[in-house]
Amino acid sequence: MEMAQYLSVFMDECQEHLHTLNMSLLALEGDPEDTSLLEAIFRAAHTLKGASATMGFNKMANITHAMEDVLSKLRTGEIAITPEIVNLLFECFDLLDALAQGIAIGHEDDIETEGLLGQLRLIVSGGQPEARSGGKDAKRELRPVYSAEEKDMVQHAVEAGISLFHVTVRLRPDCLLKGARAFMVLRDLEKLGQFSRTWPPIKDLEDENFDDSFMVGLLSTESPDRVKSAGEATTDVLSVVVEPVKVEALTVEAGTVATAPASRPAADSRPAQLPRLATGQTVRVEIKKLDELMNLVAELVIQHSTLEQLSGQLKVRELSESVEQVERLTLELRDQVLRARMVQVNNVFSRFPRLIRDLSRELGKEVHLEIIGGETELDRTVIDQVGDPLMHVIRNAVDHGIESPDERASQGKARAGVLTLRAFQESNSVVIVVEDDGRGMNLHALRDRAFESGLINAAQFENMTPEEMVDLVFLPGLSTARKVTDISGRGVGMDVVKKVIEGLGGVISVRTQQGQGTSIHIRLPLTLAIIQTLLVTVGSELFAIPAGYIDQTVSVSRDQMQTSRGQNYAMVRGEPLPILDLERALQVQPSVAPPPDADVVIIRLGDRRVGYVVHQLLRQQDVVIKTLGSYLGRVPGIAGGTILGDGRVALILDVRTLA
Amino acid sequence: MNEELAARTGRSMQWVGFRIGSIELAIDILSVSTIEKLERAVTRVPGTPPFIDGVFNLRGEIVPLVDMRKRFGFAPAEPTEESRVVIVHFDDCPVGVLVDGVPQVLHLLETSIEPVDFPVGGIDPGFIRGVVRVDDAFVLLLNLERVLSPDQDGEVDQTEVG
Repeated sequence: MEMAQYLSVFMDECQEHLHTLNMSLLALEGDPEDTSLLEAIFRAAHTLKGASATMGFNKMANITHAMEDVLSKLRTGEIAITPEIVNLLFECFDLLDALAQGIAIGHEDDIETEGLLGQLRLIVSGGQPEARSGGKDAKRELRPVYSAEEKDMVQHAVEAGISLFHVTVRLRPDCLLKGARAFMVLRDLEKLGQFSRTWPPIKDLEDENFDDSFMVGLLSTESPDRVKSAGEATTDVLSVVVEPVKVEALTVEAGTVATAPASRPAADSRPAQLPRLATGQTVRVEIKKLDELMNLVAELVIQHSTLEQLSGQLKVRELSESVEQVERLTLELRDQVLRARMVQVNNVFSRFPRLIRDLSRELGKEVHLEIIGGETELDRTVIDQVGDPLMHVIRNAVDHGIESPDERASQGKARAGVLTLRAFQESNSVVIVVEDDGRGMNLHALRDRAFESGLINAAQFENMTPEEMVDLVFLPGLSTARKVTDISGRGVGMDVVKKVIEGLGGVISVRTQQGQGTSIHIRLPLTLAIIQTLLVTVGSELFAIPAGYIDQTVSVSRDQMQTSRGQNYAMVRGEPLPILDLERALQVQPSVAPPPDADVVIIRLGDRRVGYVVHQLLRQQDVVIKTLGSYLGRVPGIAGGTILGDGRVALILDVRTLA
Repeated sequence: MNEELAARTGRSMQWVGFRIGSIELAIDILSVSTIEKLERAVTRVPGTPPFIDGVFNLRGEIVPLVDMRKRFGFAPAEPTEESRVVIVHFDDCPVGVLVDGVPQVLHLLETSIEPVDFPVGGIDPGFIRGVVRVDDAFVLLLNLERVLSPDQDGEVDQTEVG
């Protein structure tokens, strides 16, 4: 593996352990008595220490090492778990998180760690100065025990003239990287022969699950001195004792495991309450590889439509049957690849408990967070981008939505507000709802403010429906917060949130009830890469309309279209429907003789409907969205392009900016 | 600084020369990635500057096509057998530049490049880095960044010319 690959594996692991650390800290704060949480925190810090030290990220190693010292004293009860201590641990988490991010971009060195290190050390020295004491840490005795099969193997080797040595290696007590050192010693020894086994087992050695000493059974033809010097080659090795052993003298494992050091239960005694992140039957795959796979599948889909067209022209039965099979397989393959790109929304949601905790402290509010449907899956690309907008919405809810405990009490509400974060799948979308039971929005105040800031005119002011008033929150430069706080209401607001969500092909809407609370609904496409479209012609040009926005298609006689106040309307089923002539909107050369009946694609955007007049409805087609490139940038009315089966490029309409 | 040094030492530079109408032009070879025939239909993109013909499919990637004739305000002409698309990189984004003649590589001495501050062959001096005499003809070396910038016309401060 290349260094870069090691690094990405390390970063992934880092994220996992930081996640555990964070969740356990939050839980510990609520229940300081729960020792299993302390264990989990300790394990996470410990593993991070090992991993970061191996990679040479010393700052992270030092912090986690100091954390470990504090944590072991917490475990033994030498130091009590106080809110201050928990806060300090949270600070450690923040710093580790920052370091992880720093490492990712190669700027670990810029991050200051000495301050926190000092605090950690202070706490450790404030307790018992003796770092390791008491029965818990008493040296574990190493007893070389073999299984019957292992003894057999040794027997055969010895009969073949190979000697068995028991090599006891003792590392310096202050050795930071016991696991790595043990590994290096083993690597050197392995050059001299074959291991009968190690005590504790290799797995425990790798996990640093041993005291300062470990023992290796080595089958070798080398001299004991040679073995000794090989063992001593590694730094931090205090002593190496090589003892030639006779087969007859070997102890064979009894049926019980309790006395056998080899199966020391430490590794298995992990508390079951806190589930470890699933690592079962999975492999880590770089997202880049999945992207490449997706591109290949996309090309396959394109080639398939070429095939389909050809087979349609050739009309050979065997060919079309085969093409149908290829279609089935291609679609299945596409679905599988898309599925492989899906990750749980929990990946985003998991940062919010901490956010809520910090926010509510800062603002003097009590907030209870409920997360529902965190296992709902979304495309990785969407997940990556949806975090910030969600964070903003949540900040708003805590800052402006949920009232102070006293205010709530005076209104007969529970002192603690409830913020619900809910995700669920609905056909081809995933809906994320952020709901609070706070004060709700004052729609009239919102409208007044919009009017005062000149965002709406007097006529709009007069005729505004409640739905339209709610939509005002998405106007840039409008915030109902009475005062600007650190948390939200500083210029960037819901308008930015809306832009990001729409950029992802999503829709955002707000429902609010004064005194009862507000809920924000965010509907996101399951995946960004492939969408279903309706191919239409406008004039002589070809365009794709995303099917997700299409309500229905109708045929309207041109006689029924009329213009009122600059807006074209058509009466469809007795109701006026605003009409957009795509020829004009897309600056297409106008058709010479338009047919008397026009095909109209009815687009639904939230509660609004608009009819697109097209020349011809061609067919439904799944297309792979491609960008038009940064040179053209964002083109109004165009969401991107796609390559059709015949190699031509068709533009995909962006109905949000077109209508 | 580098250019100054190169000018004094007379470093040789490579340019990709092509023709638009009867005018010889060249682009620094460092910004050129490939030269293609225009084999696929070009899809017009509404709402883009008039000199952008549209987008086309370049081996699975959608690439915008800039029409040099239109960019310099020349009379439009249908692409011929000789027409080529020079694929250049602009801010890491591939852009196709439609030119008339089949391009060829020119080796030019840095010292032979002369600055211009007046329109040459109807092309604004802001688009030109300099001019070079090759055999009997003049070749205009293009300032590609300026040519491709949608919000730029050729006019610039005198200080920036050259």
